[in-house]
Amino acid sequence: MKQNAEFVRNLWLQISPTRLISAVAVIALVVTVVFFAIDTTPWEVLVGVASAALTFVLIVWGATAARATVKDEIRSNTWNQQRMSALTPWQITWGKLFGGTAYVWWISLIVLALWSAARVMTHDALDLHVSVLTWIAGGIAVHAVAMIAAVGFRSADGSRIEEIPVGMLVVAVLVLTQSAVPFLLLRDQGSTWHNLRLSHPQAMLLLTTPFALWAVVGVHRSIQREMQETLLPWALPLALLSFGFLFAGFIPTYGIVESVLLGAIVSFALTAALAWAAFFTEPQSISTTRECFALLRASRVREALSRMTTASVLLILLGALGVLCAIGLAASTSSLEPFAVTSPDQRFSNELLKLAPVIFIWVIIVAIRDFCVAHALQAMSRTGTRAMGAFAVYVAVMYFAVPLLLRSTDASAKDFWLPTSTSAPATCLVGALASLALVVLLCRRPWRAASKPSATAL
Amino acid sequence: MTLSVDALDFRYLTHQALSAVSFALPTQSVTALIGPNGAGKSTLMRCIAGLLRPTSGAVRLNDVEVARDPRAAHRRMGFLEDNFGLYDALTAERCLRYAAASRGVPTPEVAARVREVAEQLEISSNLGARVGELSRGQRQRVAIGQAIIHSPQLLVLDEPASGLDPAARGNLAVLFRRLSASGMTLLVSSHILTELEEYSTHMLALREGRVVEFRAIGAAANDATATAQQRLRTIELRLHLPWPDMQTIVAAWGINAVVESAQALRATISAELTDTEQGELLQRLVASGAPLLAFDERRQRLAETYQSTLDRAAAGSLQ
Repeated sequence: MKQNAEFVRNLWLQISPTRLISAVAVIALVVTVVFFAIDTTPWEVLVGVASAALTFVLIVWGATAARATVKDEIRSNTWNQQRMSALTPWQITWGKLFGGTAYVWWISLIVLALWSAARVMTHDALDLHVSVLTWIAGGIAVHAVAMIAAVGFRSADGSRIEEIPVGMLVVAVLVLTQSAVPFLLLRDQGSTWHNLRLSHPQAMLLLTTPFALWAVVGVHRSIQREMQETLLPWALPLALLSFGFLFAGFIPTYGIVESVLLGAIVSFALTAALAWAAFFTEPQSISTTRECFALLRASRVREALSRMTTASVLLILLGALGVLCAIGLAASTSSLEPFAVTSPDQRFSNELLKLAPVIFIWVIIVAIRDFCVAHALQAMSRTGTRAMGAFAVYVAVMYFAVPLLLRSTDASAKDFWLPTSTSAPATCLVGALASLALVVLLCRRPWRAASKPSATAL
Repeated sequence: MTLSVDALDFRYLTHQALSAVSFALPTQSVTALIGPNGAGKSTLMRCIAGLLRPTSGAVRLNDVEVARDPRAAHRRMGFLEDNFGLYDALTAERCLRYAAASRGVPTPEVAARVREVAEQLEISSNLGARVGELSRGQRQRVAIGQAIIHSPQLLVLDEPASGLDPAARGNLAVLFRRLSASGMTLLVSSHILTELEEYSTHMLALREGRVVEFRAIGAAANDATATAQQRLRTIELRLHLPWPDMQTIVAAWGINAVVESAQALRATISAELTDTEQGELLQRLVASGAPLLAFDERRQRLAETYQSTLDRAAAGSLQ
């Protein structure tokens, strides 16, 4: 097997006999202290100590080490050499992901073995192998996310990593995988996923593994992009769809059609959240969008797709899912009525079901409108930070200040602005379309002012 | 290996960095890339290296278009940035071994290639030392070693001599001449023009993202493809006696020469000449009894050429 130079280089930096032995010595010291200090239940205490150590070493230290594999390259100006190397993006991905965290994995695997032994000794070995796999998948997921964030969140000149967004993203993934999603989806100690009965550890593994897999795919694609490879935007839509159907599997349904529809709805919600995050964080260049349109007109679909921004990809996915959900919901409202019946507030649920198809269309329209606004603000602001600030103000006005002001006015104005009326649900669509038309009208000037894509660029 | 750049444009979010940049570097040439700060030198080099995707236009290494197939292009080129990076915690040998393995040198050949490059760069005695402990000049050599370890056909160097002492700069000039002689084409940017003229065969001047001049300099200017302007040369003569008839005699030979200060003991002939014509002129001068004590060809300094280029460009932009 051909050696991975990136993995070997990371091992040179990470591993030395002294470091390996000192890690074993420290762990042995901690175990000895636990056994000598605690007379009655040392194994129970060891489970707790090992869990805490795993959280710190595998998750916190591991994320820091994974981020450092990119940060150190950028700081020491070796990143561009890597971008020009003959290594494949996949070699760099796993070379960094596992080589850069080799020492963390060395300690973690020892602690994991100790934790497993302690669980066996305390007669708590049910689904132990599943829990061990969950720790490993969780570790990989967090390390990979830290790497994606380190590659993605860099200063404008690319010379340093923006630490705050990196940290925020890692924490968000941790909270999502380990707390929020399990809290929302898993009830009691067990759960059902697409009629499959799962224990709590099994369900946690089911939730964690896709995060790890998609995060590794994400690192691979980030490295591909850094190495100037042409990328088609399939990964993010596929990941969102898979998460949608994964999460929807935990919600009890009454048939395959409803199950698919629920998956699409969850995917739509995830896509919408990410689309607005992209409008906010990603520079929306009119030139790039014009270039994509020109390529599409020239029937060069593959090239157009490869140049699309994340926001554009998410907008298309949002549109497709939204239409699918609206049609699906309109057609199967009666079959979804059991949801309304089982909900605590039946009247509210019934009204929401009636309004749901309109909400999807409304979200699509306002997403297109906000996409245009993000482009216009970028064109006017010149710097990414100013555009981000201006878009934040716009969102605050449109979705918080205006609805708040409309609360004191008559209902028709409110219904025009937001999809709240069940008596005349289409009113909000008229409002959304009118605001979209206004924004398109205002955007014509910056659109025309942007440089036309030149023939050679296409 | 020919590097050709065709109508290259590059635009940052807020400004145009390169506009319609076109040129082609001949094989084995050493081209000095010069221009004031902000002229677009580093952006051009990064576009050539495939680290930036041009807004429009193309960079080609022989038949490979860099933006379309950067990995194929990277196999054929080495790039040393101005703020070059090294793994300070690794030894020089490990740095070179990693560079070799990561740049596609076959595993069985890595050790031999590392030794070869170390000898070429005269760093064999430092291979066991950590890079962080080496002097600036030695680090520079390790960095160049990393850039050439895969035997690239094109070497792009951004400010390679910055921060080096005069002795190290001299060594660098020798090294570049050696690399060029071994078949490599070099593109070197620097602010130190005297250093560039030590080894450059061509000059590429940029100003506000545009090429203001691309021409052969020094010996390369004698190339058959050189223009008349490029073959204009100045010969300084030292006489042991005044020779007032010089202007008339030289004109009679049909050489369109400008003879200055002929009454004194120094004379200057400026003419468009090839090497052969220059040799013939000197022979005829001796044969006609010119009281010659010494003669020398005065080469136009790169700094002078660059300054005149900038002056012309400035005059052009004013018109």
